[in-house]
Amino acid sequence: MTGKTSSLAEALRPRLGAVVGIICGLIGTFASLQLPLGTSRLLGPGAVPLLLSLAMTGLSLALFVKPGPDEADADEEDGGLHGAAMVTLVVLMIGAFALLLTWLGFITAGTALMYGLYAIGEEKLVSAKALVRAVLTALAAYLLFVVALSVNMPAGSLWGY
Amino acid sequence: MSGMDDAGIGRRALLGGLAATAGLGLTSRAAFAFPTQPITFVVPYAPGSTDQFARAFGSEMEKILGKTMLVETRPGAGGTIGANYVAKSAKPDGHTLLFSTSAPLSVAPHQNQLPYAVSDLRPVARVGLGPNVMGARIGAPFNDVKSLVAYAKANPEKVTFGSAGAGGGTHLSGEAFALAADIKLTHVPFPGATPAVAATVGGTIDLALGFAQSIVPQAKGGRMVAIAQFGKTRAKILPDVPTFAESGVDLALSPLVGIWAPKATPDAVVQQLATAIEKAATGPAVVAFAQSTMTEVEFAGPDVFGREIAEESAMMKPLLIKLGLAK
Amino acid sequence: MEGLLGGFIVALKPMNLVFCFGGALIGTLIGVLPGLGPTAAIAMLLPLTIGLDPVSAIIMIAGIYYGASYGGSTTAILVKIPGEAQSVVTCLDGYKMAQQGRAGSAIAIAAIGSFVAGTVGALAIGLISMPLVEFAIRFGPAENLSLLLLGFIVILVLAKGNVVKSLIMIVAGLLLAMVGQDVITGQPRFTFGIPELTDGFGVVVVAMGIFGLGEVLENVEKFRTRSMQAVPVGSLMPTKEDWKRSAMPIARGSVLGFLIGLLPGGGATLASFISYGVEKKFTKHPEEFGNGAVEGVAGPEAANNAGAAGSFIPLLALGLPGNPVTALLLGALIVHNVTPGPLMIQERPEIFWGVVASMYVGNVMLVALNLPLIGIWVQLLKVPYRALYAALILFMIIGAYSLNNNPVEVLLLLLFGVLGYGLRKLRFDTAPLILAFVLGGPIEFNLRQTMMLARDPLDYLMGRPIALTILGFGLLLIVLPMFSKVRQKLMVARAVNEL
Repeated sequence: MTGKTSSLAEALRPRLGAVVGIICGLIGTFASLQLPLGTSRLLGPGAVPLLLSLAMTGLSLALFVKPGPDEADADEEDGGLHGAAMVTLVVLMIGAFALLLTWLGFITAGTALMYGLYAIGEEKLVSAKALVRAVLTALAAYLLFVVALSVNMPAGSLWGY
Repeated sequence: MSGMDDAGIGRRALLGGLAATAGLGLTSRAAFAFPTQPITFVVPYAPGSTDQFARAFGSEMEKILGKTMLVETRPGAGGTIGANYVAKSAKPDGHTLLFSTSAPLSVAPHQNQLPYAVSDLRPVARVGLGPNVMGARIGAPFNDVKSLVAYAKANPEKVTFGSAGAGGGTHLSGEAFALAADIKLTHVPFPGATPAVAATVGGTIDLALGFAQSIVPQAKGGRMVAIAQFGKTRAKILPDVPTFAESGVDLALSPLVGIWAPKATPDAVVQQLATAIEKAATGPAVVAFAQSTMTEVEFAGPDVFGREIAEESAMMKPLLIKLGLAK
Repeated sequence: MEGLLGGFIVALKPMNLVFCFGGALIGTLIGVLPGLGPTAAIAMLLPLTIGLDPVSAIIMIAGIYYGASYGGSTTAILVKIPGEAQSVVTCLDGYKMAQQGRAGSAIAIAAIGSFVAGTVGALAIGLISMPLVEFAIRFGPAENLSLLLLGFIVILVLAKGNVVKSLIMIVAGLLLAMVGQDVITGQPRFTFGIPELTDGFGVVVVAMGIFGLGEVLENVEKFRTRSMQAVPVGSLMPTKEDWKRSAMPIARGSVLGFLIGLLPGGGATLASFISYGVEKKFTKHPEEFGNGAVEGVAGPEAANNAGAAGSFIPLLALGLPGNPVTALLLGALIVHNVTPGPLMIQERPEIFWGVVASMYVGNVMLVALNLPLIGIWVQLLKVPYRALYAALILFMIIGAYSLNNNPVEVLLLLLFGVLGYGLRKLRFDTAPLILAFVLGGPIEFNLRQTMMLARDPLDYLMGRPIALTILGFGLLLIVLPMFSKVRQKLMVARAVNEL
């Protein structure tokens, strides 16, 4: 708990979840209403989702009105701006890996992802150690999963397979 | 480290070997090079049934074509994800083939907007013909098609039948039966054929539809009654179960299992594959598979198969519209 | 008895022992790799068994199944990555124990619990599977629904903290389970036109994302603020206190898990949930649940292994597999030219008894294999987290990709990872969400099936005594603790009076 930002965060935190919940509930309600609701004997595909979406909206509203006391594990410290940046980077890298995997192939994409992750771990942009580790991890994973366990990781269309 | 190097060399040596055999194929055949690399069957269902069928064919075709045959499962969305992969992403050179039931080409196109067109896949061969069987629970107030129809006419909607999933082959077969016999049944879908059979064995529902493989052993064990098979004529492996036609209901529906290639695959490659498949269909691995799974293995060439899919598709469309399952 | 003896003669043949050991070893190794659970392991290794004779093949596959189920709990405990649905519950207290330096003890208790449960399960299959299957087969949608509702009561029981927040998580989990093609009508729901969503979210992706990746992301955030000291490894063996507290949960978990596992609507996962709830009710230390209670590992681990054994019964006795793993085993039997069905016990008794005996042998091997391995697994915790996390992410990605050979699964994993991370930041407890997600699909399905079959739901329920009994038991689970609290107060009052 350091300074203003976190006390602001403490005030916003419970309500933020409630707002997201209300939005999800409303989207769900709208989407379920597009589906047939059926009769009580032949419940349609929309019936249960509609009920759940309404419950979601209602519960989130209740949370918004009365956020209640925070959970006991509030003693955990935040990672601050630096932490948020790290998480964003990791998320972006995994996303890029997923999108480029079929094109680059597993070994290339895997090495690149591992380099990025190790570099983040060391907090250095350029690191020979991270590169060596990345190549070794990707190769080991390739041998273990693709060669030994015959998991079908893509070879990469870039290389003409 | 040395382990890694070994694996690398092994792989390279293997590739070299493959290239060498490919060269031999080229000189002896002279026209074009096929196959030049391992051939993959893409099975659009979760492992467990259709992929086993594909593996049986693969092990026979390996002997005929001299190339490794791989089976890859790409399940999802009623088989359309795997079908789409072969239709859109596979090279049209005959090395990537779809091994599937006909549903992604004859049923799914009427149900959903699909990313591929039926014409994006060209039929290579039909390899299997079901048969599908209808079984009744022990203690049901009927034990053959005639008494079932009579009972269902007197008690509309009272007879329940379990399918392997709404909109799937077994559901449509059941509805097609109800339509042909002019009766009303209550459909109860299950997540797969086995749970439906289990519910029939347990007496929760009256009828179950499914491959012979899931129903006939239960009938033999005295836990179900096999009342009819869906084929035009009695299947070779099921000589004791009557067809619907014999029981006075005008219905014949055989689930087709076959092999497709991407649209732009050359004619000669398709022909060569079809020849190999026909030969494989009588090979020991396929025959043994047919025996133990009660599958009717029946080869048909590209033209016949294409016609059958078109016929099936034409039959399914009005049925799907009637059931409210069409897009 | 004669059959069982024959089974042991089959299972103890040197070749079969080798296959059993090989299966258990490969299974454990695959199970330890996040994302690759028993189903994936068997599917991948099935082709390897084709050359074997059917009994050896089935023995090896059963070994893989046990090994993989067991290996899954190791990652759940060490790094909070459940390899499959049945080790989700193990994450709750097992991971907390590891964080407190009791990883070795948690893994050992899990191994022993699994061993005891597997032994009980194998014996029960051998001795009473016919009467049990006659009971199990009578389970229709109404009975399944009551059983699932019981599981649901358990989620409510084990939810902690703010009730409204827990309820929101439960509803969110149920809503997530609705995504995909409706099983009854085939209509796509909440898919927003994305074809990959047609089959809904996979349990493994959801659990691995929310628990595993969510945890990793949270640790990444704290790279700088928290000194990323490795977790203390602590002692490898459980303390005397751990043993004492685990004995009853293991016994209860074994029996309960076996019974739930053999039911068509049950299975190992539901067995582990229900066991967790029951233990939380029975324990003298309810406040420790969720914070590293050894009972929360012992009970569910015993239950899921017994459940796994129980789920073999419908397959072996009737040829009717109740879950994906036994369905794969059915496929394996067929590949080996055995036709599964009610006649299999009579026609091929060596297969039935061979499997039963090999289950027992396999369990002995697993314990022998895994207790020494604990020392190696906990070494994993000594790897600096800044390096370890990269490998964890890679393993999870490969596991997710291999589910459908589709990179979209990796994106979904990421999506759930971010969701899990976000929820934790907003102080929501994610466990109820995952548990509700697992039960959501079957609950809706069985509810709608029950409504279809019942013309008058209340009347229909009255005619189904099994369903009523289960519902009654669920009510007891809620009412009993209130009652015992009252009694405790009365006793205290009386004691005070007597003084």
